[in-house]
Amino acid sequence: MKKKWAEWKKGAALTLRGYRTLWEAGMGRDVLLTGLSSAVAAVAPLVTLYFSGQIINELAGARSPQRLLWLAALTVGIGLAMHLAKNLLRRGAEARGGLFYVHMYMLYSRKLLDMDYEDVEDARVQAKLDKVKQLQNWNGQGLMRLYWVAGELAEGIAGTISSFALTLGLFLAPAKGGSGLAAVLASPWGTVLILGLLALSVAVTQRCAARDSKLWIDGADYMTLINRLFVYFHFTLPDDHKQGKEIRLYREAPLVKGAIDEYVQTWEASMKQRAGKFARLWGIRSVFPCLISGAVYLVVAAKAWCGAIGLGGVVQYAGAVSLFAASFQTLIDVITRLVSNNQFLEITFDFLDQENKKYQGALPTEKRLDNEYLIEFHDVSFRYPGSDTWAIRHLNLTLKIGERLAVVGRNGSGKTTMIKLLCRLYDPTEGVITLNGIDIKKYNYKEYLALFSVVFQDFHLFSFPLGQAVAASVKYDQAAVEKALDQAGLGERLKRMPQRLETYLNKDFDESGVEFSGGEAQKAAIARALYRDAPFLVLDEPTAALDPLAEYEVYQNFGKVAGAKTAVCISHRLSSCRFCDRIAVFEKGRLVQLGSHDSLVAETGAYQRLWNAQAKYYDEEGIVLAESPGM
Amino acid sequence: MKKPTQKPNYSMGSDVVFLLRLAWQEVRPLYAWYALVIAVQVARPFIAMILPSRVIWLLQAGASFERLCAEIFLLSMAILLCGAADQMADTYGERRYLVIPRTALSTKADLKLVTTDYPHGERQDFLNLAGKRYTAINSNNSAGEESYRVMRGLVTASAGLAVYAAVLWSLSPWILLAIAGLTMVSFLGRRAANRWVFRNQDNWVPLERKMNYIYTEAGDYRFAKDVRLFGMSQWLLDVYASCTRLRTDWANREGRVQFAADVADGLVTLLREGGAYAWLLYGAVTGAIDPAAFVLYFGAVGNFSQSLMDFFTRFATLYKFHLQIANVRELLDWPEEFRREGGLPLPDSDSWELTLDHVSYRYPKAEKDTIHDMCLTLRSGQRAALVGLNGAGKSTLVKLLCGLYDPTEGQVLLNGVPITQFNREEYYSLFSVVFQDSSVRPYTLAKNVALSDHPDIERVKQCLDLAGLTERVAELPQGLDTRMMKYIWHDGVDFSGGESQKLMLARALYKDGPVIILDEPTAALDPIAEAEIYEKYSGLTQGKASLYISHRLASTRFCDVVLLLEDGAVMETGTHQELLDQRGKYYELYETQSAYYRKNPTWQKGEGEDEEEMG
Repeated sequence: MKKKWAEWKKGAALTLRGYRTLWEAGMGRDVLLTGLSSAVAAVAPLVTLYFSGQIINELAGARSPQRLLWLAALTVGIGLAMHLAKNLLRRGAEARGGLFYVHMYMLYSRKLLDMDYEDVEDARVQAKLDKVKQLQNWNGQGLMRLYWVAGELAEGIAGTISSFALTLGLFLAPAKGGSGLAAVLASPWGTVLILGLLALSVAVTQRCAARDSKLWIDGADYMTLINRLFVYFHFTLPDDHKQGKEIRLYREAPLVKGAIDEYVQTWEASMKQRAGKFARLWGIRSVFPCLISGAVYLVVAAKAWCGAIGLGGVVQYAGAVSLFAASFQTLIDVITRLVSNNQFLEITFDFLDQENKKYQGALPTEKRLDNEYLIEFHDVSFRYPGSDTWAIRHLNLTLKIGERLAVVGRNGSGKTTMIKLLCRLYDPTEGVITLNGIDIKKYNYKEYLALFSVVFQDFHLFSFPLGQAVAASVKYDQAAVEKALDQAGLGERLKRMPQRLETYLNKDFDESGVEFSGGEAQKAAIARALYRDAPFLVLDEPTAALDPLAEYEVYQNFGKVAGAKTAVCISHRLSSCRFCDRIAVFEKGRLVQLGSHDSLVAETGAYQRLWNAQAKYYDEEGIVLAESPGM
Repeated sequence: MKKPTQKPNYSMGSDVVFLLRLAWQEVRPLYAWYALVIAVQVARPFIAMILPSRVIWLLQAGASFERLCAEIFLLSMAILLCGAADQMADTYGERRYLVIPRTALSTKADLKLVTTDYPHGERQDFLNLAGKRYTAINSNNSAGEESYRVMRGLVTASAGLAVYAAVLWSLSPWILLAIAGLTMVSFLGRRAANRWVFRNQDNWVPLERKMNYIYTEAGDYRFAKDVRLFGMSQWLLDVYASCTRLRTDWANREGRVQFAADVADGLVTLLREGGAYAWLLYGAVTGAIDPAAFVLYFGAVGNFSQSLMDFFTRFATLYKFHLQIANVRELLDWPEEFRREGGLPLPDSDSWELTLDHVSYRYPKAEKDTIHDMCLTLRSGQRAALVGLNGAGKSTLVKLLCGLYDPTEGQVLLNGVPITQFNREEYYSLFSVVFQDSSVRPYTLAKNVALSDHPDIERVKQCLDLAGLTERVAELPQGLDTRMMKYIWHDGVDFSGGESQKLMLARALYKDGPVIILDEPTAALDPIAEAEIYEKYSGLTQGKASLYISHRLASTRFCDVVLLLEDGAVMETGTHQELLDQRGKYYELYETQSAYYRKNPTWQKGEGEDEEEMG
C-alpha cells in the first residue's frame, strides 16, 4: 500500500514537472487556456439542464407565461454567454496552439544546441532523442500528451464537480411514500445502487484504460519502426530525385514495391491481432455510463413516481447524473493515460537532463594581435565514448605559429579526430593539449573556440541570406563579409547576384534563391571561416568536389588567405601537401611521420606509399599501365 | 503568391467513387462495419431523445411503476447496445482497416514517382503536384484516411436529418424551415472565416516553414560541429524568435476572425433556441403541447440543427479532401512520353555501339543548351574517360546516354537504331552505373547489391569481393543478411563514405550491364584505395563499353580514349598522350594537377606571385 502510494506520488511529480517544463518553454499559456475553455464547455450543458428542469416544472405547475419567458430568456442568455466565454478562451489558446508541435521540436533542438558536442555525436544520446521524437510523432506520447489531455483533464474535473453539485438534490430529496419496488428505489437504497455502479465503473474504466495503454505501449517499438518505414518509402525515397536515376536504371521499382508490401503485410497482421482487443476494451468501457444512466432513470422515475421530485427534476437529475457518469469516466481515463504516459516522460527527461560534463574553464584567452598562439599535443590518446579502440594514440605534436601543416593518412587513420580534439569538440582520454603552455580545458570554452576557423569536409550552409550565412548571425559587418567572399574567390559571383548579400541560399525560402554548385558552396564555407578572422585556420578535405582548376585556385588562395595564421589542411589529394611547411602522416591513430614533403618522400614509409599511389599516374615515366585491348 | 484557382480534372462525385472503389479493393469488410456504425449512430440519439419525454409522459399519465420500469429498462438497454456496438465497430474498423487505403493510395503515387519519365522530376508543375500529395497521405487526419470517416459521418448526418425533419414536420413545416435557415447562416459565417484563413495562409505558411527548417537543422547532429565552432546557435534562436513573433501575430488575427464567426454562431443559436422556446412555450401555455411533447420537440430541434450543421461541415470537409484526392489522381495520370510497352526488341548482340548524333539538351526554362550539338560513339571493348570542369555538362551527358533524358535535338542511337524505338525499361537494362549520389537503402546487404528480391548469393559475394568489401562484410554479425541503415533498423549497419562508394561499385558489377559508367567513384577514397580501384579497372571492364568520369586525371591513363567536355561540347578527343601533345585544354588541366606531383615542380611555393602561370 505504502509502496503504491510512493509510486503515485512519484508519478504525479513527474507529470507536474512535465507541465512545468511546458510552462518554462513558453507553452503554458496555451495549456492553461485550452483547459479553461474545456472547463467552461463542460459546465455549459448543466446550466441548460438546470433551466430546462425549471421550465418543465413550471409547465407542469403554474404555467405563468411571465416566469416561463423569463426562464427561457435566462437559458438562452446564459447559453450565449458561456458559448462566447468558451470560444474566447479557445481562440486565445489556438493562437499559439497551432505552433505547439513546432515549439515542441524546438525544445529538443535547443537542448541539442546546448549539449556537449561529444554527447551530440554519441549514438546513445541520438537514439534517446530519436525515441522521444518517434513516440511523440506516432501517438503523441511524452510532453505532447500533456498538452493533448489538458482539455480533457479540465473537462473531467469541471464536469465531475459541477454535475455532482447539480445531482445532490436528487439524493437529498426525501421519499414521501409509495410502495414496493418504487419505494425501494426511491429510498437511500437507490442511491446505494447508483454509487455501487459508479464504483464498478471506476474499477472497470481504470482497467480498460490501463489495458488500452498497455496495448499501445507494447506496440510502441514496432509502431515507431513502421512509422520510419512509412516515411522512408512514401516520402524520403520517392521524393529524392537524385536516387531516381538509380531506381530507374536498376529497375528497382519492384523491389521498392516489395519492401512496401512486406512492411504493410506485417503491419496488417499486427492490426488484425490487436484490433479485436481494442474493440473489446472500448465496447466494455462504453457500457458503464449507459448502465449508470439507466439506473439513475429508474431511481429518478421512482422518486418522481413517489412524488419526491417534480417532472422538471426528472429532466434535470437524469441529465445531470448521466453527465456525471460521462465526466467521471473521462477523468479516470485521462488520469490513467497520464499515468501510463509517465514512462515516456521519463525517457523525455532522460534526454533533457543530459548533463554538460565538459569541464568549462574560466580563463580568458589572451587577445593577441601578433597571433602568437602556440598549441601543443602532449602524449594525447583518445577513444570515442563507448568504443574500446584508440582513435588517437600517444600523439605528440606542436603547431608552430604561422606554419602550414598538412595532415594525411588513409580513411579512418584519425585525421579528423585530431581536428576535433584540437577544437575541443572532444577532450583527450589521456594526455593534454596546451595553448601557450596552459591546458586548453582551463580556458573559457567560447573564447577558446573563437580561436578557430574551420571548414569541415561535411560543412553545412543554412538556407538563409548569404550575408547572414557567412557571418553566422542576423547582424553583420557588410564590408567584412564582402571582403571574406572576395578572398574566398566568390567576389565575381557576388556581383552577379541581384540581391547581393540579401540573396537567399537555396530555394527553401525564396524562389529566387541561389543554388551554389559544390565548388561555390565550398568557397562560401571558406568565406565563413575567413570572416571570423581567427588565428587558426583548419581545412578538412577542401577540394574533394572540385575540378582541377578550381582545386588549383583553392590551393593558391590557401596561401593568401592563411596569411600569418597557423593553418592545418587535411586532404586525400596529396598535391596539397606541397603547399605546406610540414606534413603529419597518420596511420591507425598514430602519428607515424612528420616532416617536409621533400624529406618524407625520400624516406621509405607511409607517406611515400601514399604519395606514390597517387603520383605514379602523373609521372610521365611512371608505371606501365595494365594491358588494354585495342579499340 | 497569386495562383489562378484551377479546376481539378475530377469532380467530387468521381473522387468519392474512386475512394469507395479503393476501399472495396483493399478493405471490403470495412463496409459492413461502417454500415453497423451508421445504423447505431442514427438510432442512439433518437432513442436518447425519446427516453425523457416518455418518462414524463408516463409519469403524467399515471402509469404503473412496473410499466415505467419496463420502458426505462428497454430504452436504456437499447441505448446501451447501440453505444457498445458503435464503439466496438468503430474501433475495430479504425484499428484494423482504416490506414490501409491511405497506404495503398500512397504506394500508387510512390510507384508513379519512381518510374515516371526522369525529367518530370525537374519540372516545377510536376513537383508541386507531387508535393501536394503529402496533405492527402501523411497522417491519420489526411484525406486518404479521414475521407472515409467524413463520408460515414455524412451518411449518418443525412439519415439523422431525415428522422428529425420528420418529427418536426409533424409539428410544423415552418419551424423546420426557420431552423434550417438559421443553421445555414451560422454555417456561412464559419465558411467566411475559413475562407479568410485560406486567403491569408500564404502569410504564415512560409514562417512556419522557416521555423520547421530551424528546428530540423538545429536538431541535426551532422551540423552540430559547424553550429558550435561558429557560435551559430544564437543566430538560429534569433531567427526562430522573430518568426515566432510574426506567426503569433497572424495567429492572433486568425483568432479574432474565428471569434467573429463564433459570435455569429452564438447569436444564431440564441435566435434558434429562443425561437424554439417561444414557440413551444406558446404551444404549452395554450395547451397544444404537454410537457412530454415539449421535451421531445425541444430535443428534436437540437438534434435537427446538430445534424444539419454536421452535414454542412462534413460536406465542406469532403469537398476540401476531394481537391486533395484529385491532386493525387492527376499525379497518377501524368502522361508519359518514354516508350513503356511494345517497341523493338533490344538487338541480340554481344557488340554494342552507343552513338550521340548531333545531340543537344536544354533544361526547361534554361537560356542555353547544356549539351550542344554533340556527336560521340561508345562501343564494346572501349574504355573512355570523360573529363571537364565542374558544370561542363558531364552528368547531363550521362543521363542522355542512359535514356534518363531524351535530347531536345538530335538522337541517341543503339547499334544504329534510335533508342526511342525500344521499350525504355528494357533499354535501362544495358547500363551499370555508379552515380556520385548513389546511396544505400534499408534492405539487406545482399539486396542492396542485387537490387532484386532474389539475390544470387554467390554472385553478390563475388561482386563485394571485387569492390574490396570482403573484410568489412566478414565483420558483420549477420553477413549478407545484415540490414542496412541504422536509422531505420536499430540493429542495422551504416557504412562509411568510402565503404558506401565500394558498395555502389559492387552494385554495378552485379548488374553486369554491357555499358559501365562510373561517376567519380573514388572521391571519398584515400590514395591507396583509389589506386586499388584503378588497378582493377581494366579487369572489371573487360569487353564492355565503359565511361569513367573523374576530376582525378590520373584515371585517364588507363582509358583508350579521353573526351574533354567544355561548355556542352566535346572539345578534345584522343588518347592521353595525343591530347597532351595537342597542348590544349586537357594539357592545361593535366599540367595544373600533375605539377604538384612532379619531382621538380614548375610551380613555386609562394603566395600569389605565380598566378600568371594559369594565364
